[in-house]
Amino acid sequence: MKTPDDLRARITADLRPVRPLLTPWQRALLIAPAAALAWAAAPGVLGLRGDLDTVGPWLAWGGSILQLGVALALIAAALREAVPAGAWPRSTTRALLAAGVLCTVAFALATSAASPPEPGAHQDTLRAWWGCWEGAVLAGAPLVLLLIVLIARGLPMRPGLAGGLAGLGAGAAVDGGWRLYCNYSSPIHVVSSHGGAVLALAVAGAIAGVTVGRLRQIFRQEDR
Amino acid sequence: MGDESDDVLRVLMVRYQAGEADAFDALYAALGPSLRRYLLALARDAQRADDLLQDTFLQLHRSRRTYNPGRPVRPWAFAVARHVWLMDRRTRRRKAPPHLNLDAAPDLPVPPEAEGLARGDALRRALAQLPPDRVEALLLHHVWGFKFDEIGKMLGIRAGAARVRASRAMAALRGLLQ
Repeated sequence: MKTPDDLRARITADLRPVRPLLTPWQRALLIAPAAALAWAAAPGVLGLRGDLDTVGPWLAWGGSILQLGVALALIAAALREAVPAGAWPRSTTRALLAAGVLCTVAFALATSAASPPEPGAHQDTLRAWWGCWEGAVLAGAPLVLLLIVLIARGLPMRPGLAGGLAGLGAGAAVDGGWRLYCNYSSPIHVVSSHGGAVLALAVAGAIAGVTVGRLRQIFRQEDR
Repeated sequence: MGDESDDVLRVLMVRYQAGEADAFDALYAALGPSLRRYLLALARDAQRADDLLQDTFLQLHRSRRTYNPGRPVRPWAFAVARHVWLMDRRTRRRKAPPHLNLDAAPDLPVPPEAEGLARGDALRRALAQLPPDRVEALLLHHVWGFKFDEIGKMLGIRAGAARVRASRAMAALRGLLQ
């Protein structure tokens, strides 16, 4: 089978050496410092929660680091989605998505049980809710952006899913650190505000992923 | 299968990533026929399959950095072809519903395991009646010899699910021909 002349001309005109992408796990490890930065943003800038001793080191630090691990697995899954014939099966991806969501909810409930919130505390206001939501979204947004750029450099078969995994990974990383700062452990506050921020980042990632896919499709049609 | 061994394809792919135009020609010659048949099995239209083949090689070119030299070339190339078909199908669905003329059965590849079930034309017509995503795993395994774990990675499903899809498609094919 001979290469058609027009195709060969187009390929030759654009042919230059390229370096193969690193494997998704290698790329996830390279991203790890950025994820760790997002994780450390709240406790590093705003300080640690006052009831850390009451919550206990295993639940506070152990849970937080575990959540960072889940975040890195989600990021690796997102990067795998961006490589043809590299994606994990849907069932594995679904399990990871569930783990990302469950971590947030489970640690919220466990922390609440270990250090119950004081009734009528001042944080139980819309302002505190908004502060945590906004702060977590802002802390995670640069990581989502970085991951979307990396996904766009590949060829995601399911761009919405790749973006969603990236957003959820970024959200899980931020949330892991945020719980070390926010000392208001009311489940309603944590699930709706912290969890809402994780959800917002996941949705933003999915929308960005779909947009990348659509743009690629438009450029491909124009390129014909 | 008519394809070169994956070791040869890997060497070609590495040379192509290094910027050698001759390697692209060799890859086109090695992968083109099987990719065209795969696209024909998905698109069910010879003219579309030809167009999609060009698009696939353009997309392979744009995405050549996503190929990892430590992995086989063919699952990667077939996955890119599948992506191109899916994008095309999505665009066409927005413009007009797909039309399939079953009387003019396309020259679909026939799994060797199904050859004893009926004559060539009847077999191709029966294959054409099965939805592309159902028949895909069957053809990938029985025609192009992909392992089920490779098919799983291409389709984003477990190896076991790929095996089930292929087996159900074969059962459906038998059902249509009886």
